[in-house]
Amino acid sequence: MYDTKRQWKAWLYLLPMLVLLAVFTIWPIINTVRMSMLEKYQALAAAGGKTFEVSFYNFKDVLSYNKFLTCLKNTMILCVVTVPVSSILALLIAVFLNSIRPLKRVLQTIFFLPYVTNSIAIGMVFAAMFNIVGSFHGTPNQIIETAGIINNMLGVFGIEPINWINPGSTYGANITVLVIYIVWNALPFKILILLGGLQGINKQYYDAAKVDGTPRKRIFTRITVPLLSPMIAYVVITGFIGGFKEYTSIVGIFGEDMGPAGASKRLNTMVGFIYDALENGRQGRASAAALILFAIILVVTLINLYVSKKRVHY
Amino acid sequence: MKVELQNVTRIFPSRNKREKNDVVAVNNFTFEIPDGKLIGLLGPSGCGKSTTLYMISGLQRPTSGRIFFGEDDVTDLAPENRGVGLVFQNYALYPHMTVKQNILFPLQNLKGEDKMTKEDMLERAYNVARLVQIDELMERKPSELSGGQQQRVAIARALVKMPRVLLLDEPLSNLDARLRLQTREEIRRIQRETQITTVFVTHDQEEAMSISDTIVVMKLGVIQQIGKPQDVYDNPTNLFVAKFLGTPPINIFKGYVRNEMLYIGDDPIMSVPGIQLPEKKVKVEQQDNQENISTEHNTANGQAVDSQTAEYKTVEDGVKGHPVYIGIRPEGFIVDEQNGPLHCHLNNVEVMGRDMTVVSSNSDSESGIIRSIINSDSGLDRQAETVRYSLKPHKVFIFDLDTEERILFEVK
Ligand SMILES: Nc1ncnc2c1ncn2[C@@H]1O[C@H](COP(=O)(O)OP(=O)(O)OP(=O)(O)O)[C@@H](O)[C@H]1O
Ligand SMILES: [Mg+2]
Repeated sequence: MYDTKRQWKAWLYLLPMLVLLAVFTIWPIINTVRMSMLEKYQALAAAGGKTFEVSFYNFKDVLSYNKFLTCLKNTMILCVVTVPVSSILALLIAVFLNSIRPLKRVLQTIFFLPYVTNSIAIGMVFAAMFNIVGSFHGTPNQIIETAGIINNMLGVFGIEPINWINPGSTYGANITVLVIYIVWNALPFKILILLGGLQGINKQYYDAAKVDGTPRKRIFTRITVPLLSPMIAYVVITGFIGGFKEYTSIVGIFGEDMGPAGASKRLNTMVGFIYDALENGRQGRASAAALILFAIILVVTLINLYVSKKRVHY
Repeated sequence: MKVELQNVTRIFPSRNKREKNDVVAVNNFTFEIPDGKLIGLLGPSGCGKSTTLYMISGLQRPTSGRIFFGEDDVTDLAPENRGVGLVFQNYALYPHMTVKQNILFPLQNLKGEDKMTKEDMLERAYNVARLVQIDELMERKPSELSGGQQQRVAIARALVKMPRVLLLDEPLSNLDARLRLQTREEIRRIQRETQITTVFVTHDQEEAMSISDTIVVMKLGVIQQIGKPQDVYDNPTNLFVAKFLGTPPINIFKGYVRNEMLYIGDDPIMSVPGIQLPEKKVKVEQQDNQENISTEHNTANGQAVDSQTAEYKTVEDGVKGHPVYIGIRPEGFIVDEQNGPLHCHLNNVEVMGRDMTVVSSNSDSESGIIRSIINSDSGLDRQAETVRYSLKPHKVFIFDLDTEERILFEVK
């Protein structure tokens, strides 16, 4: 055992950090729980002396709220589609980058670029690329001019311009653009992590496999993937956590309306819902939504950890 | 399966294109490994042992030269088509697979008519596991095994597909002394039982000597000598080989030859009849004969150490005789307090049962220290200042000072 004197010293050194933690992490969490349990809690009214009943009203309210269910659905779709797609793509690209010699550095830099650029700015660039200018609902004789490079490129292959994000666009088209954007934005970090993992694998495993005449596909599935599994698990778990917090990408492409004109909030997410509630002074609702989001992330992460415990070789 | 290397060379080009300092890792190797034999590749670090092995396995391509398995030229064949088993220096067992999965792995790769049923694979795996005595450990992961067990798994994995050639790259270097001894016996046993042609790489001369049918001694990518371990030990072709083999190592002296007599300092230690000295040096020796004889008179009268070192210089200049390196194996010394011609200062004696190591010193010894192995009941006076040795002629080797090549003489 350490003597009390030394323990005191240790606590003293920890104090600044503990104070910061208490003020900026622990108290907000407690306060969130408190606010979520107070019926129709509003901070302004509370400041004015109003008291609130303790109940689960906020949770029931949020869960039966159509707008919230839309947000939940959007978030779920984006997570379930983008995380596997971006993880698999990142894995393939990392393996490819790791296996080439010439242009390796250049390609690594190119793949890393999205990571160091502002995501709102990139979102606006994406919006421009998928944009349509001119009348879309013209008669067949009218020429449709598109300013978006994507539609121009599709035109080369004889594909009719698609209304991706403009007024009148479909939900499916919107989600497609979002998925492409989020996957592309998530790639650099994942590639970086997986490439680091790949470079840490002893080359002799591959030599051994080669001497034993292992086909390339089998080397990938039986050697590369298992030896990389800790990194893959990390990338997937952080991917899901990031996915549930998705917000900026939608703002970047669709603006703060979270949807094309005439269908605003159609693409809103859970985080967006919380922001909206706060903006309207509904702290009780926002807190309840935040706790629900927390619970979902917790459950998904636990499932991830449970699966990886069985599959991941450390 | 006989393995044959013909003029095999491997050059690693230098990174820096302007400077031309390419590494010649393996320089013009030609040797043959007879079917079913175990050959030891021996040499100091960086001499090209692993490179040679990788070229035989196909993981690296020779820059020039050809490699044959039996009558087949395999130089252009990919590793998987050569039928070799390779055991890496650090085993390279797949850490995420059990021992069983590791051993099965090469079998599951077989395709076409070689494809095996699950039962056959398992049976084969268990047979090999039994051979290397790891059949109890089949369900464990490599991290749960001792170094020696891992090594045996690696051998099992290399053996399971019944390779035509088994290649082992310093397989014992990670083991402790006792386990190393034990495993090396085991490798020998397995090799004898399976009769697979085997190449064994090591930088440990004792290991190579004890296990190999033939050893290939290498230095800086060049083969120095090939032969049966005992023959190479008894007949080294040059100073490097003589120094590299044997524990304790051979004792090297600077000395000279005059009139078919071998000298260390002023001690005429042994007659070397019929010695074939290179021509040029002999002339020098004859010219200076007169002077030498006069200096010898001085020492015969019991001169101080001072004049001895002074004469040592004259030896180097080729004045006293033809200068040479003299190598004497530790077991080549006989203590002879009355008539021993070689005088050394006695430092200490380490008794090890039947034999003892006598540590003595002589100013003409290259390392300063001489280690000799003497029978314990040789009547050595341990309190004495000096020890006198006579020598066993077949344990004494003479080498040229410049080329370091062996100079032969008649041993009676
Ligand atoms: N890929 C490479 N590129 C450049 N030089 C290399 C390469 N591989 C080996 N070498 C050089 O070739 C020489 C022989 O290397 P090799 O690995 O065959 O030595 P070794 O005898 O196995 O040594 P050790 O006992 O240390 O394992 C060394 O000088 C080494 O630096
Ligand atoms: Mg090596």
